Amino acid sequence: MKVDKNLKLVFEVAKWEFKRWFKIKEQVITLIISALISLLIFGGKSILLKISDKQTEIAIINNSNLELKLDKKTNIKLFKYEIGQIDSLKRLLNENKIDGILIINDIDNAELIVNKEPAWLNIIQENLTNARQQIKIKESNISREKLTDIFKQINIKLNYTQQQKEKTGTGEKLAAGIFIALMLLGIFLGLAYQFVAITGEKQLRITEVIISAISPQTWIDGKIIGISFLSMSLLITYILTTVVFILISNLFGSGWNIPITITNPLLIIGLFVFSITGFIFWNTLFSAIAATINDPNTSARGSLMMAPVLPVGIAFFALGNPDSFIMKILSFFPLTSTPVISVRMVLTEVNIIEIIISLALIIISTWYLRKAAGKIFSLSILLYGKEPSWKEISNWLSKSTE
Amino acid sequence: MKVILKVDSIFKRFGKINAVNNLSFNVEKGEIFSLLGPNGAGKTTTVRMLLNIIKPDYGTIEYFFDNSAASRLPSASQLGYLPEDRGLYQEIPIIRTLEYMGVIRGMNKVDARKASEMWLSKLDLLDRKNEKLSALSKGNQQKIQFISSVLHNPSFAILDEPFTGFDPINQEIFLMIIKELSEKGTTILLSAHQMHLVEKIADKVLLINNGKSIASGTIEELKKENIASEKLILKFEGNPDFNFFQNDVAVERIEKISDGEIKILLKQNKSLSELLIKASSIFKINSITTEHITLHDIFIEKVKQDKEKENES
Repeated sequence: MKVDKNLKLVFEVAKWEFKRWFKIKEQVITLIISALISLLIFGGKSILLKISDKQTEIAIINNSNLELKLDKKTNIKLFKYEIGQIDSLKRLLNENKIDGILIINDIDNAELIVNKEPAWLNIIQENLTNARQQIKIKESNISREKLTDIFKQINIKLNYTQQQKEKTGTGEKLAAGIFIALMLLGIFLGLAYQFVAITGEKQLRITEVIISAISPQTWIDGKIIGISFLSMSLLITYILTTVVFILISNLFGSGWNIPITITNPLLIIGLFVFSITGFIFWNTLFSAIAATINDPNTSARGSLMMAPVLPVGIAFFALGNPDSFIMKILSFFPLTSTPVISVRMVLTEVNIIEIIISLALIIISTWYLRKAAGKIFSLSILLYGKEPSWKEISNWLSKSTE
Repeated sequence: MKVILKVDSIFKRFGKINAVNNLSFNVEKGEIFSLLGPNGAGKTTTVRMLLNIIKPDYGTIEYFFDNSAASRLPSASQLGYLPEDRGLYQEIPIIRTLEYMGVIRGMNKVDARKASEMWLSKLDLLDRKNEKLSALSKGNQQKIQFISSVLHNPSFAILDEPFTGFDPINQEIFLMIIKELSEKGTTILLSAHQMHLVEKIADKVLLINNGKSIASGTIEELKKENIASEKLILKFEGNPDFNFFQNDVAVERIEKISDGEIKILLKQNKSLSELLIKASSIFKINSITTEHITLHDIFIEKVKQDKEKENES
């Protein structure tokens, strides 16, 4: 009965904390801004290219047997002239009526007369080289197929000794990298909200009213859950923002795609579970620290918020070798497990036993951390005017376990 | 009357200061009990100990609700608390904050909303229910804070300095509201330093100074116990020597108000006419006013006696 009542109160506090900070309007605006930025960058580029669609006109004086043919897509038009017309062509060039004069002396030498460095030089160079190669192939009596075969690369088939994914593409690696970055962002935002919530309540003297109605443990439990779900919602918004960005860019031919493997529902559920567990773990740790802060503007403890950078950032190393021994160990260590195992799940096949052990370990450590955080929170939250020293905090904890 | 709060010899020391020193008292069901004392007397520390926010170094605190065994604390729904250190969520609409406060004190959301609206209407703030608290004046914020502490209709309400921050008109309004709450069955423990206000509503008072009890009982009892019974305010022509009054048998104490004006506290059952006859034969008296002894006078008197006892010991 009492447990039910407590759970109900934890739920009410969690709901309050979540609704206090989560603004659906802001999340929708973030999504719209992402779509607009993608539209602006990729759509804008496409529009700009169309606007600046002026044809390049080049006069060509060909004294060789080289046949220069350009694709229509290049938007370059060639006009044939004789060498005797060079002076009048130079006049036209001076008046910017043509963009250049190309004189092909023989198959090895050509001259390009222009007013400024041309953007289309590579196209001309490439096509002249191709035309020259055709002549040279003909002269050497080697077929084009034979030549292609000579320069073909050797084919190496990868044959793995352990069961794992056939191939981890750049797309998956990029997706995993983006996921860690967003997870880190979610953790930081969650911690920031937790800091502001707790230190703000302390400064506004709200704590005494709440503590007279609910126990500090109930209060902190609700706060941790509420803020962790807020972090999760922000993470989902950022992932959706990235997806929208990629999809819109793709409409304008960016060539970016979302790897099919990361859309697997089981993987998505796994990532969700590990993300929310990670957020709960970090928020539990920092709720206790926030409660000890007297004035957030002057306290040095605020800088502890940067602490997750190292353990969460370590997961970036898993991108290179997700199945290395060290990454397998870090998959079980609570400070690093959630980002590392998430990356490994995206990039490789992780054994279900590893996943269960990793999850169990972080849940158990969060449970104990929650008890300690509750103790620190209950003693610190009504302490105005001074910050308890680390020694005092450790004394509280040792007394509470006696 | 049934005792619902029993406090026995509680003591709390902060560093070298005895914030609360062996305080004992009982609160009976339905009464308005007031802890009275100047700032720093130990009232708020006592209140925080009653709520288990801080623990006494020794002594016991027991609550007796609904014929059940003694408990250290009432349940959240039985208790209302207005702390001295006040604060609520500034950037959240008032109605949402009030609903939340009701819900964590055991109400369902619908009832919490109804009760909030009823109280907001009573205090002329219903039209501002969707505004943020920060948009309200300090006095109105204080009203919201009060609502948050009683909207769940508690059996026992602890109101720490409820009149602080209010203008005289609102102080009177809150006197009425506290009285109404009491009439509807809420037992009230009031901690305040505005003795003239407490005097109007308290059934019993406990006077505290330096963490110690210096007097307790109903206001009538305290007045009877007091050496002085009436106050006499005299205005003279010129600036006479007031030492004349100091030696009179009817005079308990004199206080100079200004040049030519004094306040005389008269001893119980002593004749006023003799004193006035003697005084008028020596000085020219321009005006005479009499007043009943107030809680303030009793408090000053008790503090003085307490100091004298301390000096003697």
